[in-house]
Amino acid sequence: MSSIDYLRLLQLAAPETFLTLTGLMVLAVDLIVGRGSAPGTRIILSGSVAATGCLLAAGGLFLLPVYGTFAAGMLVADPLTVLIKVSLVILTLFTVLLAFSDAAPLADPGEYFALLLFACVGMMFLTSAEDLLMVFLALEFTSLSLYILAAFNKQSPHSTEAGIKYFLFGSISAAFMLFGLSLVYGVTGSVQLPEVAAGLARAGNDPLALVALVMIAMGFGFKVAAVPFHLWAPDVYQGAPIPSAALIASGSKVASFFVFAKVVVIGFGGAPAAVGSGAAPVWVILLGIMAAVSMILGNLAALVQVSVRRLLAFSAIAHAGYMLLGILAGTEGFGPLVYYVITYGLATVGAFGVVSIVQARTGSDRLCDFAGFHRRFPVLAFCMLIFMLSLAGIPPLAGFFGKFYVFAAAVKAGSLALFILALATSTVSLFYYLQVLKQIYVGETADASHWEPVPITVSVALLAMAFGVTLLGCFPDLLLNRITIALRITGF
Amino acid sequence: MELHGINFLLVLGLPLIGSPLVALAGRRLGRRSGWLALAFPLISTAALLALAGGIGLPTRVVIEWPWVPSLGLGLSFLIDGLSIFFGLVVSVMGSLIVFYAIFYLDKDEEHQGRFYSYLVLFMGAMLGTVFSNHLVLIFIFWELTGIASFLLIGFWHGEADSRVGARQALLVTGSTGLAMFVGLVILHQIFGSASVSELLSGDLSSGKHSVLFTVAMLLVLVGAFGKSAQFPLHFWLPNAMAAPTPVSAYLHSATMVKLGVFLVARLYPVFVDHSWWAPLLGLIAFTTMALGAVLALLSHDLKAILAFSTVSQLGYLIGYYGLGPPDGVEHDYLHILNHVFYKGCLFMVVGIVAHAAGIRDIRQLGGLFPRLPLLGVTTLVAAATMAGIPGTTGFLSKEMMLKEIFEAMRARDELGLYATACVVLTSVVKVAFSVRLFANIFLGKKPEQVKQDFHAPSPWMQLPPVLLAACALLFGLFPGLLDAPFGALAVEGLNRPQHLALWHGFTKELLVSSLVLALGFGLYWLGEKTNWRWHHIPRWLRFDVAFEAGIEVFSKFTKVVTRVLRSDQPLDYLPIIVTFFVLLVGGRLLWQGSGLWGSLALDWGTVQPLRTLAAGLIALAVVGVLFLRRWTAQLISLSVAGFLTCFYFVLYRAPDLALTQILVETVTLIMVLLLLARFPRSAQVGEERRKPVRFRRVFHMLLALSVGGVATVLTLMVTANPHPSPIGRGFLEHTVELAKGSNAVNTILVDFRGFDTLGEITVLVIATLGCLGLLMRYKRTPEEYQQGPHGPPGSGAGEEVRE
Amino acid sequence: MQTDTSPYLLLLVLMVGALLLALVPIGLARLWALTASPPKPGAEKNAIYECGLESKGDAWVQFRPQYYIYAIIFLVFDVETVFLLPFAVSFGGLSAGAFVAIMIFLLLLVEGLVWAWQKGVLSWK
Repeated sequence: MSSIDYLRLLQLAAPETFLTLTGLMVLAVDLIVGRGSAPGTRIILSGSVAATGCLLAAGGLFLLPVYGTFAAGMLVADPLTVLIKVSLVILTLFTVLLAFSDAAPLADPGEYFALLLFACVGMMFLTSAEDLLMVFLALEFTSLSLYILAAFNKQSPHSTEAGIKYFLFGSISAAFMLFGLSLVYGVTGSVQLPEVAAGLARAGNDPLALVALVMIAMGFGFKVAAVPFHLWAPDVYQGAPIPSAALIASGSKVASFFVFAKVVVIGFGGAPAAVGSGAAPVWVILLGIMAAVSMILGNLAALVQVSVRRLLAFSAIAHAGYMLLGILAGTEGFGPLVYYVITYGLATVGAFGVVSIVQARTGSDRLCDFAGFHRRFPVLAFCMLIFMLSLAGIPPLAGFFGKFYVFAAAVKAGSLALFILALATSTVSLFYYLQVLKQIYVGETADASHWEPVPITVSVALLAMAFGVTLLGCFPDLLLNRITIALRITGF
Repeated sequence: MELHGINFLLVLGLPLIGSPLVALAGRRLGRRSGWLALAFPLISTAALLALAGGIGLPTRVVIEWPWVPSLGLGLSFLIDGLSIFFGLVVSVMGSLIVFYAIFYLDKDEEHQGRFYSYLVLFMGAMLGTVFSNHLVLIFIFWELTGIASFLLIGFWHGEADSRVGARQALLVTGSTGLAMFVGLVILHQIFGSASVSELLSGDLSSGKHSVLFTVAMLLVLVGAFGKSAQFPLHFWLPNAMAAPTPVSAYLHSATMVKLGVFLVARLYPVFVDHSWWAPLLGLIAFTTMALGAVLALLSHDLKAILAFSTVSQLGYLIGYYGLGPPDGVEHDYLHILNHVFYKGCLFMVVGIVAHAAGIRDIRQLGGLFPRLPLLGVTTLVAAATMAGIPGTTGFLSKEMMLKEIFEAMRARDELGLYATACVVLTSVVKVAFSVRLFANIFLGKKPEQVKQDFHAPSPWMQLPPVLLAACALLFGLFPGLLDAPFGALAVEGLNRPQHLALWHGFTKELLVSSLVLALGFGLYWLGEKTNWRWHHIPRWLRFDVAFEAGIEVFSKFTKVVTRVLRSDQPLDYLPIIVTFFVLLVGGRLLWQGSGLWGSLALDWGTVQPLRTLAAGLIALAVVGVLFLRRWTAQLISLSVAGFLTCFYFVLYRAPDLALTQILVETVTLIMVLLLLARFPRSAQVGEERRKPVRFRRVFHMLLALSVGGVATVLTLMVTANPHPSPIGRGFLEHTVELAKGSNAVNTILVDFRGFDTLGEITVLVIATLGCLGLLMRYKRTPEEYQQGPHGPPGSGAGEEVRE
Repeated sequence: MQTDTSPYLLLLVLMVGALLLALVPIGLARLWALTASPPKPGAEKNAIYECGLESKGDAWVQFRPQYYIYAIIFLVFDVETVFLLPFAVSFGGLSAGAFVAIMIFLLLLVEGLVWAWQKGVLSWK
């Protein structure tokens, strides 16, 4: 323990370190250069530093990946985590670009962008943790950044409400999780996932292990907004500043689901046969119930929403249900889950981007505000079409393959009933996604006022995301191959 | 192979790529975009013919490009007789329809580019479906046809009928398509292959006995029934007639609705020996057949008549496969082709008539023959084909139909009888409405309105129906012409092509056929005689109304669910989460709890009066918490329970523990009391607008009790099997040596775990300070409490003021 | 020391002693007040200590959030010290990597301080 190789640590955590430093630089630039300038200039200034940092980090990760393990699973960099990290950084990059249009509420752009980067760093650490303690720390780091991001618009009571609710329930979930983790430690005597698995297998029919698993699942359930721990999601998605909501909906979900799956598949992998006496292991039942209820409630509630952001929130809940199917499928579902979550994140950030354009110009995000959007911004309307259809899982788009891949894994794992439920509910989901599109394309509006043009960065980001969703839909192998190879190398 | 691949790309790839191009070009070309669109089906047809010639039928060729190898999903296409037959139907009909549409659409019709784009997209999707060799590809293209049809039906989205029709079509075909997908996935699971060609040629006997196989078959059939509008899902097809007529002619008679038939044919060799296959298909399909025919007779709208007759014919086609023998059917191509000829033709004719006269109600039409002689002859041929008059393909089809049905009657007792009854009934009714269709449009007196509004249609527009009718006549007169192509297109396991001839001699079938004709004319005569007064569709047969009502109910249901489970009140969060926890953990404990009760059994001998008294007092204090109203009183009652627990410790001879507990208890009590004192009175009384409901109190009480119960049981279970090497023993042993104190509890608190204690105290203090800070930040005056929004922001309170 | 007798006897004695220590002076004062100083309250007498300024309003007032921010910024120095001291002590034996790591860590803290300073948190307005 005495000789920790710090150089190795810096090497493995280079992207995280780089992003942290970029965050500091954003703060510094905003303080020194941007002082006294107009808010718009400051946004462009600090935003472009942040965006450049993200680009460089993503490029570095992609081109010069370093693999290795540090301190027995505290920090693991393997092809899979690097892949996830790249996607996290890219999602953050898009979020940063989207924030360019949300100028009005951002009084302190430097801090905002820095926080976005810090949240991303937290997620990256979360991704590479294979140690329960590190998982918890990284999760808290991410959450703290996200709480502030959610409440960032100090002028808006909605944003404050979102922040408070997110914080309150985030803390409850953290408490649950910590309790669960400590029980796991108590039962197994280790915080490293492989040893936890062995310990759980040894522990056998220990009721404490059962409670621990339930509590950890509850904690993660909060983070990924699965029913019945979804209660914060609609308010946060609706109230938080849009880039924050986009990051909560995409990046946070990617990282949380990844680590959730890792904890469940690696950590609890040993538990199944032991805890259940003949019947299915307890976490399978638990996740199965959560998945089913999430799919049903999320989709039904989304049907009647008038606010598009709330609609996206409930759809996110429903998607959490589908993603849980991937976790349920065990190792078989790991690759599908990763693919699903990444493509979902991409489409969600895009959808939020379009919502932010509408909201910045009409002041609200009701469905009827989208009427006539097609005439005003035909290209962006087409992007929204792609995002919505991808979320609904229409064939030539990435969302379809995500769903297909996850569902196929679920069937292989034997959860046929859940698969049928998922299919049925995704039909329902098509209905409300089409509601949005209907408003955009055929909605009638009397309002003929001129809308100010969309900032170029936002258009570029949206086009890039739409292109990405389409590309990944037509050639899913671009991503699937990498995931498969990474999984094989990692040993799943 | 290379050549086939390029050929096939022309067949399928070109329309799919071309569809957006047509839409883009449509802005500039406007009305002329139709001519651009016409190129795609023509090229497809040509390429398809070349392909058919190239591969040397009857063989089976698989063309495959890798797509998603990691999923085992390739762009794999199966080229055999069946797919080429359907492909040709699609592309040839596509050419005719696009040509027809160019003249059908008004000059000033908007968005023509979009219309043709959808049409080409639809054609591409259809071709994709029939050629797909991969189960997932089938599903993808299948749903794509549904979406294209949705867009086409709803093309005039300004009209309510179109919207309703489009929605019904999408919902029915889309959701049944999903059912089919589930079925296909299960098939994949059972046989381990998603390739159609492997399913058809492989040995499947291993998986056929499982229950899953039956489930898969049922689900696939649900998909086929939905798409082909079989009873009881037949209602969407007539409503889809709100589409422009070319669309109706193409999608809803010639091609898309035949996808169900196609699917049944495609998987015929897989499913045919299942014992449910024949009864299931037979019952549903023949019911559909009879029902469709009767409904067609009861309708007045030209397109509705044709729609219901299509439903009827689809029923027959599916039922035909249902009753087929295991080694293959004989005349399926003939029946399908026959239907394509006459129904496509009639749809186009009806479109022209409606276009020319501006009326679609058959009761208001008549006497058009002098104005439209060519069209009249065409209609006569087509109607004769529908009725099965000798000299047309309709006659051949009917002869074969009767022949086969009589065979089936022998082979399958009751089912065959039922089928025969349905077929005969249908044939009679069909003759009646065929006659009516021709006679009431073209013969008789011309009503005033028709005279006024009539304008002559373009002769070019009449070309496609004339061609179709000519085909029906040609092949009807010289059926031998069909032998060669049908023989080439035959697929092993599905078809057993037979020689076709016009004249089979005086057979039983001919007799029945003549009888049917006579009866049909009689029925028509009866209708004319009674002026068709008895014609209306009874309410209980209006399935579409029930369907719409169902959707309405569903939407109300979702609203109720959302309202009940609304989640914007933080106060409601905790019960939900706790309930979940209790149900899950508690339920699980009960589940495996057989051994539990044993470990909980009481040993009455150990009961001591003093301890019992203390325990009783604790319970009393807890009950007090449940029933006291004021917060302070509840809190004090709770701490009484705590202090009594300390006493309990004393009774167990652990006064040091008791002292520690007393200190902790006191400190927490004081802290919480301090905070409670800062709470405004209104917060305690409850400033929510909700009145305290008894139910809620009881629910919360139960919840609290069950949490306690779960915790107790868990504790008991934990103590029942203690850890082999508890850490406490180590503390006890080393307490003097390491911590220089003989009281282990104290040494643990202040020495071994000193930092923990410090941390806990810090956390407690910080929490208190934080709460104080929050409470002190802003102090509302009593007046503000009276007026202002009640409760913290986000608690959901605030709209109403509670007195 | 004799430990044979009950160990709690000592505790009891202590408790009684503590109680007496608290109660006896109070009782004495009460007694004194009753006999020597009959209650004659007046405006003058009820004033706080009969000296100083009259207090106004409630003592429970809104705190300036600056107090909290000051406390948080204090953490910068606090944490810095905790980590810097061992760093300095073992500086000779540290690798370059460790040096870079601690520099990044210091940069984080210092930038926080600079940021707060520049934002005007430290100037009390």
